[in-house]
Amino acid sequence: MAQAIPAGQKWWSGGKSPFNVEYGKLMMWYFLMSDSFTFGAFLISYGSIRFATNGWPDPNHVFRAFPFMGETNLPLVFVSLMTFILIMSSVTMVLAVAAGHAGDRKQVTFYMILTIIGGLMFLSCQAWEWWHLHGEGAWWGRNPFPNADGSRASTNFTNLFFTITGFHGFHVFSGVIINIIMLIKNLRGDFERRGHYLMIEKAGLYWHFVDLVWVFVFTCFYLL
Amino acid sequence: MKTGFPSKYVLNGIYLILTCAKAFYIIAEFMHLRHEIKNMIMTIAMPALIFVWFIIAFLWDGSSYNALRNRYDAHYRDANKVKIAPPSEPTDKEHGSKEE
Repeated sequence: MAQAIPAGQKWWSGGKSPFNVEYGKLMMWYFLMSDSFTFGAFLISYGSIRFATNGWPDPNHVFRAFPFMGETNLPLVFVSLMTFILIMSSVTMVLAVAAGHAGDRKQVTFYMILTIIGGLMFLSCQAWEWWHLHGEGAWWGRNPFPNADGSRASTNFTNLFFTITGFHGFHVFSGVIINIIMLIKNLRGDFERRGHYLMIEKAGLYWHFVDLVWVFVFTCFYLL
Repeated sequence: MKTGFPSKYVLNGIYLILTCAKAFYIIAEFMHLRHEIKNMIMTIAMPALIFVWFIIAFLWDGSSYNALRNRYDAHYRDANKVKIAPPSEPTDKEHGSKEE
């Protein structure tokens, strides 16, 4: 959290962080920036391959199933639910960081547990979606879905879908692991002894970034 | 979803604008970047701006490659005319093989 800044502060005269940010938090920001280049490269290659292809499967046709509903035609309902779950776990993470600023250890524990549950729910939803698509014959190198105009689609669609959502899902997984470690440290009272909850903030940055990437993955694969 | 109105391009434009708005608010408020000092914001925002050019350049390249293949590679062009399924959006009836 930024402290009160005196007027006429000389940031570059030495002796303090010119960015007014703690070292670990700054490094988390730069890590996230480099990670955004990774995802950006993935999504841009998706875009250029899609632009270099005559037809593409219709997402309203491919993503129309919902768990335990049998044969359904609910285009994008399930993935909207997944998006909602992830953004809600982002909200609980904001509340955990705010509780950390207030130094309220019990509230931090409560909201970290909610955030972890949200992350696990998202991962379960994604596991179901992959399992369902695999059951329909889709996998790396196999694409059962025709193009929107009825012609035969290439396997680019499934290759890109599984690679990029898989990479994102792996980030969610590691985010859940990080959050669990933060929860354990909080339960042990590590942050209370240290006097600040900056570690929760850094974990929060990573978690929000995962949510941010999903916003773009969702748009590219499901809406466009 | 099969009304054809508003057109696909208008809808896609709306989706992209909403996506960027949502991304902005996640970064600015959830990740708290808006409340950092300006030097800090710029070291994150300026490199990210490279993406604008990346996206334009690569999509341009992709569509140029597609246009070249459609022009010079007859096999590639004709492969798209063979239908294996009814179109999922019945906008042009003449391609629907079952009605003939």
